[in-house]
Amino acid sequence: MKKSFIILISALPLLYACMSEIQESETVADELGQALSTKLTGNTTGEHMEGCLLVFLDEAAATMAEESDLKTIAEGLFGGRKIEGFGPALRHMPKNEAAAKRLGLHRWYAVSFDKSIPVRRFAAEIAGHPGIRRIQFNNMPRLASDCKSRPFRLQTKSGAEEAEAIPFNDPLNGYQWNLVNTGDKAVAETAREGADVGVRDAWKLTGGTPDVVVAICDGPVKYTHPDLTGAMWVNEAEKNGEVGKDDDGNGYIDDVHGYNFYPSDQSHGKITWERDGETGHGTHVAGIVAAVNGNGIGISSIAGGTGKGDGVRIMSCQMFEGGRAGGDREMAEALMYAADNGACIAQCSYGYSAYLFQSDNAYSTNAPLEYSALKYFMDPENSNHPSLESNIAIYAAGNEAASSSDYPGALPICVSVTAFGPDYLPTGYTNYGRGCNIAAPGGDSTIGASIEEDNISRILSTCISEVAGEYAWMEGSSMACPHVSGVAALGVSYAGKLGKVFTGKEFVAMLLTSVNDINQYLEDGLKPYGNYNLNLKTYHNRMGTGAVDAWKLLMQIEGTPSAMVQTGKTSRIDMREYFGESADDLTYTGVEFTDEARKALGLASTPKVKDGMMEIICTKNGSAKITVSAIAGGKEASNGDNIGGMVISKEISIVSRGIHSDNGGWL
Amino acid sequence: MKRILPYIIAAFTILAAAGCKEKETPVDYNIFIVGDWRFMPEEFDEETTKVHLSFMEDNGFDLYQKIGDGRYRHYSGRWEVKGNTLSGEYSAGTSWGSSYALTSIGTDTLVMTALNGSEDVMKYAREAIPAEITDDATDVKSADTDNGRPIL
Repeated sequence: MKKSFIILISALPLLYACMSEIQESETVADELGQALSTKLTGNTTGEHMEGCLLVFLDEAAATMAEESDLKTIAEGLFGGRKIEGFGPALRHMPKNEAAAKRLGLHRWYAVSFDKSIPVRRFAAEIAGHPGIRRIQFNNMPRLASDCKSRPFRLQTKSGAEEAEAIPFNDPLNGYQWNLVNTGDKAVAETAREGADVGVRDAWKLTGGTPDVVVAICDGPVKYTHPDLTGAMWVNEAEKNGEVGKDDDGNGYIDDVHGYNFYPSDQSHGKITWERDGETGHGTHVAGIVAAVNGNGIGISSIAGGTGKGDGVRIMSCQMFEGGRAGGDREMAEALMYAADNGACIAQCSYGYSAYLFQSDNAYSTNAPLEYSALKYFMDPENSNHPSLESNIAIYAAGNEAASSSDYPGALPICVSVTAFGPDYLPTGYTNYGRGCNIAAPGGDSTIGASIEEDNISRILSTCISEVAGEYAWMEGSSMACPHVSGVAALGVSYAGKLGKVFTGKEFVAMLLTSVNDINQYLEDGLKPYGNYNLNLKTYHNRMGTGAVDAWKLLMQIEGTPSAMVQTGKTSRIDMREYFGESADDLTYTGVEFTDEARKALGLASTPKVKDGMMEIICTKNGSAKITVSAIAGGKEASNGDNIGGMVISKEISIVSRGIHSDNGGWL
Repeated sequence: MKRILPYIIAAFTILAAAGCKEKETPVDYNIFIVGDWRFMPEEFDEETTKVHLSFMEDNGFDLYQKIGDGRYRHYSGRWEVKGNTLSGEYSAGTSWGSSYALTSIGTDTLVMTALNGSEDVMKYAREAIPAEITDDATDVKSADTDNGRPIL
């Protein structure tokens, strides 16, 4: 292998000499074009970083690159071309080296060059080297909000109903309809009671626990914010170590609360919120998840504890700086850092524009590095909480009003979140439809009442004082997404408290079926939205499985009762108990059971699900479990060539006896 | 001796008669049933089939059941015994799934046999309902049918 690579390296100067002599030849140009066309992967039309390419080496080249001097390798790969840098795309091999190599992450390298050279041209010029299997632009995703942070200015406290409903002394929680919505008309004339995340009763059971770490993959989290400082994840070794030194040997220097992956010559990895163009987006998102509850400051949050500083923890995985995005490489690195340093939930309010990728295969082919990193994050070997056998990634669906989710959220391995307003109705900006899994409050300024210039139907959260003040209003599926992350974090905390363990799929299935029905509001009618109207029917059964409800998730984590049926009679089991309040709108894909279950219940035929009801005939007294599957997010499951929904499966315990009461009572 | 023998015989006869009357006295289930009972599952999994009943003197009842996983669910309503037949309804008027023929075994075991044709037999042991069950149970607010789904 070594010999063949040396031969290849030796052949390169000749190859490149030939290339420079005959570059003007149309034949060679065709050959280059063909080499590029076979090797160039990824989105080449969207935004990408200049002066940078990602290359995927073949196994031999990658092995050589690991064992040899990188300068020599670079000279072999790029001939006499002047480059500014060459090295592994991932600055450090992830902690789980075996998993990383299984995913091919070690074969990705990054080459940087003069930004004045168009990336396509440079790509074409290196495509001919046989050691390079793929070339990708370092594409840049977008944040899923309008990124306008509007300062909180209100002098008078309004939303008194919400304030009474939220059991913490945080003075601004009266404006947080997203946590507890009492239908207060001060928020919006069309505000609906219950259009929130159902967290009020959940707080009686848990406010989150500090062993749950949520990675905010976003702009910076201002870790000195008074309402966030008590919620930050702390790398104790770095905090107590030496400045400028990688005290814990994880490959990152001074990563006390996370790290800044944006390739900045100024920041050098330091979490930074002082660049021009900063909007506070990451800080806003973090506050929704875990701003400290009950500290007498600012806002309350979903998983910010019970007033004793005992909430979940926030890890800042900065991928955007000054509002500018890092590329695939930075996204990948951030996800792997999160996996390697203890996060069990990746909160990702960003994505690639809808319609850019029209299938899972298109995404994974065109963003292979990020896709591999996602799989690394979710590899069961990298799980970061004893109650969750694999970490979960939650994404914003996007804000293009498109009929499908942005990627990566649309992937069946990710949760994609759509946005509704205080009226429980879709916002005009939210993506919906294929690939969208669940809905949450995202804010809707078009319906909101303005009080002293603040439109309180947006989402209030923490912000960066240098940008828009300590607290600000924002709206977007970016804001909806952390609601689901916060609820998930509460759920993991509660599972830990009860000593329960779930696979990632089981947990996501519970999350996506812990919902309230919003389809009932979407059967017809119009919603005014700016200069036009939204046809609500367009969104029916297309906002995901329903509106996320934290209490329902905690009840599912406690456990679900058996379905009781009457022996010898056709019984109908309401799937809402198991698939959420919109169960009758879901597409069911199958009912499965073992032979033992069939015998225990005397099942003569396979039960069927129709209109949200399962019909079953048990001929014997007994009990057993059966598994029912449905699609969360659309009518078609993801098959690689489409944008499909996630298949979720629930195990239903059946008890058959000779007595049945209509209300499920034993007598 | 001959003179008092008839009296002795009469005394024994009276005593014997009295003893026979005690043995033949039927159980008054209106009284017997009052108290707390725990279901003893035989054809179901004990870990996932937990039922506690409490019958009150005023003919009210509480039912706490945990069938499968999750929390105990609390139902309430009214009961009635006629002879040895127990019947009742849940709050808001939904009838029980069956009425039951009652049989007692000793003072601490109640057997209920369904009279709806299934002849399901359920045994209950007299046992106080733990406070941790009654305190944390979720109330079933209505007996209204919602396609078999209780309204909590």
